[in-house]
This record gives sequence, structure tokens and C-alpha cells, in this order.
Amino acid sequence: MNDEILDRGYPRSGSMGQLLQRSLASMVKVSGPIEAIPGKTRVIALIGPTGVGKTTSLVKMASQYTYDHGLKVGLITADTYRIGAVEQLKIFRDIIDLPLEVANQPDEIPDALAKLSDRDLVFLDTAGRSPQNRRQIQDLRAFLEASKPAETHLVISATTKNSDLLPIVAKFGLVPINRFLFTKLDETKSYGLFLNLAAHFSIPVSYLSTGQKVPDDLESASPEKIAELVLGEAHGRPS
Amino acid sequence: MEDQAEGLRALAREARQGKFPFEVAGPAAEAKKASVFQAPAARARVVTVTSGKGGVGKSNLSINLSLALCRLGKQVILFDADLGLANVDVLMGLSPRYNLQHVVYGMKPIHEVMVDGPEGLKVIASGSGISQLANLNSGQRERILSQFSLLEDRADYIVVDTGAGISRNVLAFVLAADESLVVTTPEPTARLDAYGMVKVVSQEKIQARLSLVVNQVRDEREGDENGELIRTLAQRFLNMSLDYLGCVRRDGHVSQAVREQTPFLLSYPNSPAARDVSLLAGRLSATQSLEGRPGDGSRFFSRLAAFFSR
Repeated sequence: MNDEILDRGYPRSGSMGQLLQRSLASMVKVSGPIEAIPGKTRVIALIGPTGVGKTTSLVKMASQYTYDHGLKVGLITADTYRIGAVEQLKIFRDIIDLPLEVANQPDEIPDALAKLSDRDLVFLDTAGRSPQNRRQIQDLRAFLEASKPAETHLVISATTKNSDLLPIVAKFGLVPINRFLFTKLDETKSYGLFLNLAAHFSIPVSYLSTGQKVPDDLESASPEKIAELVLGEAHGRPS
Repeated sequence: MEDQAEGLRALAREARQGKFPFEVAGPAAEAKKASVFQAPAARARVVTVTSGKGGVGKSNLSINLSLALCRLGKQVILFDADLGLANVDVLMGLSPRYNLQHVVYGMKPIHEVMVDGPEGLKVIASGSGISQLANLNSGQRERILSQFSLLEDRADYIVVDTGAGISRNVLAFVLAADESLVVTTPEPTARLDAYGMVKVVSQEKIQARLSLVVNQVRDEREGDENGELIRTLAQRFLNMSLDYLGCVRRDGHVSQAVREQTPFLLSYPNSPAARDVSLLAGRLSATQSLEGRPGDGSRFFSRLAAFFSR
């Protein structure tokens, strides 16, 4: 019987680990990379708490889609709140040579979109918001309603405290979210939050950001990678 | 002073100079590219390894057959297209960091996705990248297919380990390949599923070349009987001519090697199974190499992309 099982190609050594990895992987949903339909402008919005790396992630995606996919990419920033936010984006804009529009108010979004109507992908950067501040979330909602994003990625730092995690998603959930994007994977060794989110929400994970380098440190999420991260933590080996 | 946008600036510079990101890179990457293959060869022969039924030892055979071809001095790329389970990684103790999906989405050039196995074997994990080919626009697709062509230009063999069963994906691989090995065992269920596979292929308009391998046989005679049986049935009822390539004997060394996560061809080179697989490799390379497919100069990956989008 054993021989038969073995001959069928199931390895005995490490089989528990394999099994675990597979079953963890099956828990996690991923979206794959952003879908782009050339010739049709799709708006991709990034939202999330302050300091999680929304702008950096956005620039990584914008440059990957510009250089690797040869698509026409544009940027809109609605973050006129934080000092230096627009300037930061302008620096990147100058490097990549992309059109950037600034929207101070939700009612400026239609104009910005009109100017970018020749773009295949438009990335919308939003101001970091405290999930505790209801008014801020309402503002965010107005920006999203004006820009009608095809995808809204909630950006979450992998260093987020577990006790803060669910409240963040719940509060930001007042706007329609359809992707999780995890950042700062290189700043922690505990990745249990992937499973916590997978257990509570059926929202797929889009990208994993693994460092500060633009555009290299951003990869499309796979269930295997996530399972490996979670298990790597359990095995105490660096991943 | 280096900052986080260093890589981005390099990319922007090269894009302005009209270079594609795949060609990006300094001397290090050049050296790497050069070392990917020692000697250029003619167009690779693409052999898919498939089975109607799971658990017949298909992945294990793919790996060891690839290694046996390497030992014959061939440049071989093993392409793990089993989208469900990453068997090839496990059976060889390799863990590719990137897969074909990274190439399809332009995040990695193809040579960075390839990992080095033993005996000079190159391994590529497919991830779900391949089936995405159908969803790309023609410009993107062209660019990616030209990446794949690099593989076809520089290897002697591309061995494709498909998933088990007869899914649309598996069928696409079989129809696009130069030839396919259908792996079965003497068990009636496995034989039935192998026949089923042949039947599905026979219903397609495209002529595919199929060969049978009977795995886990008691002795050569059992292999021959089973191979002959399926061959005769396919000829009579499906009007499909199959080759019987040979058999691999049931061998305790195989399971031992699986436990050790090493290919048996390397750890037990004198075992009956290793000798049988070497024989299969010899026969495979002795059969007249097809110049692409009859009357068709197209390339494997372009054909594959076409099948996925139909």
C-alpha cells in the first residue's frame, strides 16, 4: 500500500509541510496582476491608512505597466493634504515621463480624467486616511465615486498590528474595496495577517511589495508565495 | 548617492534609448544570459508528457527522462506546466522563485525565470502564466512569444510536464507539441484513461503525434502487452496510429528517490527504472526528429497561444 502511494508520486518526506502549504494556499485568493485593456481607460485607485506605501506602490505599478507592458499610463493624485505628497509624485513623474493630474476636490476628477482619456491605465493616489476618522473616509468616498475605479486596492502594511487589522478593513470597507495590496513584507517576519484576512474577507490579494526599490520590489501575489511566507515563519527559516 | 528610484532611472534611460526591458541590464546580466546555454542548437523538439489518469508517475518520468536526455548530451528545458501541483519542484528539491507568469506580465525576462537543475537541465515553472497568453493584446503577445522563441532556438528539447486529466489546457499543450508521450500503467483504469486521452486528441482536426509509455510494469513483457493493446485499440477504433515507445519497470528505488527528493536517475543510476528511462531517452532521440511539424514552420509557443485563445 505504501509503495503504491509512493509510486503515485506523493513524497513522504516533507509531506506534512507540503500538505499544509497546499491547504494554506487554497485558503488564499489572489487576483493576478492588474488587468489592462489597451484603448480603454481603466482607473486603479489605491487607498489605505497613512504611511503604508500607497504612493511607492503606485509608482512601482505605473512603471511596470509603462516599461514592461508598453501601456499608456497616467496618474492622478488626490493627496493634496500631506506636505510634499504631490512633489514626491512629480519627481517620479519626471523620471518616467507620465502625465500627472492633481485633483484638490472630488469635482476636479472628471476634468483630470478627461485630460487622461488617451491612457490605458490611470492610477489614482489618495491621501492616507485614519480609519478612525469618519469624515476622512467620507471624503475618500467622494473621490472614488467621482473617479469610478475599475479596481480599488486597499494597501495594508504587513507590519500592521493584528488588533488593528480588522478595524482598518471594516472602516475602509465603507468604500467598495476589491483588492488587498500588502506592503513592507521585508520589514517583518510574521505574515499571519494574510490568513486572518483570508478568513474574514473574500477579497483577493493583488500584489506584494517586498522593499523600497522602484519598480523591482513589487510582485503579483500567488497563493503559493503567501503560503510559503506564512510557513517560512512557522519553520523559522528566512524566506 | 543611491536612492530607491535608481532602478527606475536605469529603466527610463534604456526605454528612451528604445531598448526593451527584456534587454535591460549591464554586464552581469549579459554574462548570465550567455551562460544560460552553452551551445546554440537548432529549433527545439517539444515533447509533452501527459496521462489520462493522475498518479501514474508522469511528473517523475518527465524529470528523469529530461535528465536522461541531458546525459545524452542534449540541452534540455523542463517546463512544468502542471498548473495545480508544483510536482517538479518537489521531486527535484528545487524551488523556482519566479514562474512564467512573471514573463507574461513582463516583470522578468525569461532567463531569470529558468532555474538550474542537475546535469545542466533547465527548469521553468509555468504558474498560471501560459493560459494568460490568450488575454494579451497582439503587441504584448508578440513580444512575449519572441522571448519564448529564445528557448526554442537554444535548446534541443523542451519537455513539458502537463497536468493530469484531459482539460482544455492539457489538450492545448498536446496539440501544440511536436509529439506527446501518453503515460499509463498496466492498471485497467489507467489504460482506459490513456485511451480516453488518445480519443480526445483523435477528434481534433490537428494531427498530433502520440507515443505510449507504460510505467510501473512487472517486466518488459507486461509493458509490451499493454502498449500493444492500446496501440491496437487506437488503430482499430480511432484510426489513430500510436507508437509504443517502451516501458519502465516497477522499482523500489523510485519511491526511495522520491522520499529523498532526488531524481532516481541520479541517485540510483543502475536501478531497473533508471536503465529503462535511459533506454526511452535513447529511443526518443533516435526517432527521426521532426522539423517542426509537417508542413508547418510555426513555433510551439505561438501554436500554444493560438490554442488557448480559440
